[in-house]
Amino acid sequence: MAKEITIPKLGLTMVDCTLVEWMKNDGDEVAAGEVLYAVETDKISNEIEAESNGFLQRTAEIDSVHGVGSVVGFLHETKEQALSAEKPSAGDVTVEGSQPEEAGGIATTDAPPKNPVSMQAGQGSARLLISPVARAIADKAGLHAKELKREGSGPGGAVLKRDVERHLQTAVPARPSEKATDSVNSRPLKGMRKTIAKRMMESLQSTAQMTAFARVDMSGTVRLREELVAREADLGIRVTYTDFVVKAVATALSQMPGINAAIIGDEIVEWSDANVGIAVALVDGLIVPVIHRANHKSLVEIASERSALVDKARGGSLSAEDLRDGTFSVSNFGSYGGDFETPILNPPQSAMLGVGQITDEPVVRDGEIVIRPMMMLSMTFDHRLIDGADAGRFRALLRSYLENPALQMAELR
Amino acid sequence: MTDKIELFERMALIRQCELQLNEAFAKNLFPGYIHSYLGQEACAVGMCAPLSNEDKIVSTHRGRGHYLAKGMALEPMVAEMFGKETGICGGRAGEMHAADPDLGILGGNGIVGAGLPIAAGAAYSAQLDGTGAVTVAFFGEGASNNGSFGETMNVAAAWKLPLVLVCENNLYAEMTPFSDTVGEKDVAKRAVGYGMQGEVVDGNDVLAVREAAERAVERARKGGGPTLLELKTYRWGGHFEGDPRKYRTRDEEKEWQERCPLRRFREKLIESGEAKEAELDAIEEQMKADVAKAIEMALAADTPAPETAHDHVYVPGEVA
Amino acid sequence: MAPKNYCWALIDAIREEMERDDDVVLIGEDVGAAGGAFGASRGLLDAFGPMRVRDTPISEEIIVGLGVGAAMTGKRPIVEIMFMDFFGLCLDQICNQAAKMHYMYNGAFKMPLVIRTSTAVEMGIGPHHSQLLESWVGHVPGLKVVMPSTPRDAKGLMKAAIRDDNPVVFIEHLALHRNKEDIDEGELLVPLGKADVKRKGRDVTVVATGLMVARALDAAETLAKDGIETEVIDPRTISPLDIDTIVASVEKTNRALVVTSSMKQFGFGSEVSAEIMERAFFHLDAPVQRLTPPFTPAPFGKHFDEYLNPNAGSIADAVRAMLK
Repeated sequence: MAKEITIPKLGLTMVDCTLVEWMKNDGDEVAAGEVLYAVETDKISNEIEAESNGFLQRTAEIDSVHGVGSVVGFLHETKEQALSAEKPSAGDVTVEGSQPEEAGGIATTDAPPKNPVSMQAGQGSARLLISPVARAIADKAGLHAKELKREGSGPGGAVLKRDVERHLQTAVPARPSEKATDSVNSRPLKGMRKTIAKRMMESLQSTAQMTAFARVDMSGTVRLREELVAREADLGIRVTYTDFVVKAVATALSQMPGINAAIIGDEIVEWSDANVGIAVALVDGLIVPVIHRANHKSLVEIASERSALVDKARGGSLSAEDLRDGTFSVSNFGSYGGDFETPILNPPQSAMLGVGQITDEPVVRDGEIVIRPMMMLSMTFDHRLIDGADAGRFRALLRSYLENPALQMAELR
Repeated sequence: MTDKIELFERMALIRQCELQLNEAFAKNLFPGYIHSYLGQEACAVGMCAPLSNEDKIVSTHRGRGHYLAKGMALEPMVAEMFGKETGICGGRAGEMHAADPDLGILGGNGIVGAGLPIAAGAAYSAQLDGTGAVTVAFFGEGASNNGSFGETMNVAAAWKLPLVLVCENNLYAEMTPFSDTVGEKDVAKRAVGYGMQGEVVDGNDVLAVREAAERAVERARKGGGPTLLELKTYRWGGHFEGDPRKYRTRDEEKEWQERCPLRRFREKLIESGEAKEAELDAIEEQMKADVAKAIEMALAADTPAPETAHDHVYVPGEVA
Repeated sequence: MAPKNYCWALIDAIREEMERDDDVVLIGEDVGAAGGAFGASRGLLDAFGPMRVRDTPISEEIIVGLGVGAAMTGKRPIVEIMFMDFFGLCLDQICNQAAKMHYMYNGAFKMPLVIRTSTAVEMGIGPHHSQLLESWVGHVPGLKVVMPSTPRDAKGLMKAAIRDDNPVVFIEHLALHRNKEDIDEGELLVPLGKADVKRKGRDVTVVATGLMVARALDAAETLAKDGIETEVIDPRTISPLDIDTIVASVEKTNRALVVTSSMKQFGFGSEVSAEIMERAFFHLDAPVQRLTPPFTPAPFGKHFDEYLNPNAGSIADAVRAMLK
């Protein structure tokens, strides 16, 4: 089967480009990674590499202008195929137009496929199944539907809103470097999943991670939160346990700037502000928006910001600003029933806090067994930078703030 | 309207109206069907004679005689028939419908028999208010075979509603002889079975109709309940103008035209010395001129703007 | 605040309006001496007498016709057609007379008429007493059609319907008559033509009417445990439909399911679905779905009802299927 050669998106604002040079001729054998052609946009010029091996069939002329996702040629399995293949008509090549009207027309005339599986194969002749709202969001973002071709997670491989949002939230272009197998149980590693996979491995390979745990008696915080929840109408927000943890972390980080630090190149950098990231689970992945300068914000401000960021994360509308410059991360796995885990650092951050669920447990107080709401903190540190003693001090500080919110009051500014 | 000359004038008005609308129809100047009231003028005029503006009438698809007898202004009524914006309902109700709440005219109806329950509702309303107002429900013998007739007769009798049910038996239910559709040709006899008074009246004798109307209306005003009057009459035209009338003979038509209610009343007035021929001729000429002017005005008037079709679907305003 | 059931909330509404306005009258089979076939006019005969609370023969056409004539002459009648299944006997008065009087006569008459009726869906009483036929009347311009799902809405909508100058078909669910809710004492008006968002959510919009509203809310509760946030909208007024509220919700959730006790074919769900398609097509992430009983009459017996009608489980399943 021939593979399409499509114009990739080369920058956030790129809409189209001019094909300025073909480096190979029709029928030439091409290896993945070899430079195939060059393009120019209003901002950059770029050489584009072949994504896979094959024999080239060129369908676009030099100096022709193409939208993102447009097909400019094919890579065939044999030289004969490459030379004998008919050039597709201009209509086929530009079927994914950039005008919204035209896009709408296509969406309404797309008939459901007789065999949905064939849609997932993503052949040049197969039409893209995309929901109306997904199409609208893609159009608005200047994204060509063809770029989403293999990303559909809906019925029959249809591209849904969540697929477009995931695509837009992913920093790296969603193009798998290796062809997915034809096995029905496999799917290409791509998009957000691919980014997560890469970053997790980098994290473990480039840092020395150590995880420590602490049991926290949440009685004081539970009581305080109940009072604040009762005042929800006045405060304008429902304060969650995550907000208390974020506030405690921010206060503790101000006390111990050595934890709020990173190794960057050959330098150790201590940050002045505590920018606390919060892990938000999405349908297929995870994203960590940041509450900036949390050490300067009140509990209610943190709660409001957290609420807005979570909504944006789920609605797919986080900005690059929202994701930048985190110095420390919090992951609340308690919300889905976790007790303790070993969080993996989010480099270049040097510490990450996992928050377990709050459960009533028997504990001994003054020689008696009593029931208390207990919570486990799981803290991972980069041992390259943070010693066990410092980690222990930070952990103790955090515990004292959560066990005795009044103590934290003393540190508030 | 107790003056006999007034009765004559009103009958002459209806006669002229029906004759001249038929002419307009023949000249292709009329939009749609005409359900002519020719020949039945004494029914409407006699029945409306004892009614005031507080009293209500409910009419039928053949309603112009009723509207004019109850006092509806000629010009806006005629304009309504032509569907003009100067019509009494802005030209949207048309040939089978016209209403004027101030005169107690609750409208015609495109559905045979549908006016009867509505008339009962108006009578119930008057009964609640205790004003002594009476409602007259006009309907044809065709409607007497509709379920609404039986339901209305029964409730009117059971509740002693101030209602006069007036069946104008013109012998043809649309294009079917009434006699082919019933086992008993006198509709009035059905009154007994429902427990009310029933009376057969010569519907081509305006004074006989008026007397019967006065009796029935008086009974209703005094709380004596409803009356069914059957006015025997004849529809000179077809169900609508242009109906070829294959279901009856021209001889039968001629025979009934000899019993013309207007001519009979004219002769009676002259014989009794209550009016002179010239006086009645003058009235007829005046009515002829009035109707001609009304039609002329209607033809010259504009049709309502099509966008007005959106008006009055709902009474606007939110309840608070 | 006092707990009231749906039936007593309606009686309160009618009693308050009859006290407020002498022109309000109640006409229908068994409404007086019997206190209503379902006890839904208890106490009104004693309070207002037999002229204003009038028992009628079993004559549906004149029951509505009495209301039409009375409304044209200054009254504000409430006429009762015991079951909606009997509408076939009086549709002319409803659709040709009441609906068109104001229009036909160029605004000369108002038609402040409430046609009170009930649907006995899921009451197990067989094919002639089990239909919800809101689309029969929703199809006719000039009529308003109301269907409350809670005691509070029942009271507020009934009072608003009585004060409305248009003919209002007021559909009660007999299966809801015993449901209780705390209702504020005193004046309570729920505007006609305004939908109520019964639960907020961001993932899917469920439009449910009558009996299905509570089930949709139950389903939403279940779905919330899986992290699916369901927005439940009760239109309350079938016609004129508050499509703006529904469209605004779909623009947020990108998905809509319509759940009714009436038939899918040519039905309310089809209407809502088409409106969403026309107004919010580019906000849809999945086809709009309708969940209704199948296209059969309702046979006698509760066991059939349970089999045929949507419930919280099938609503939740339908939502999950839409989110795949």
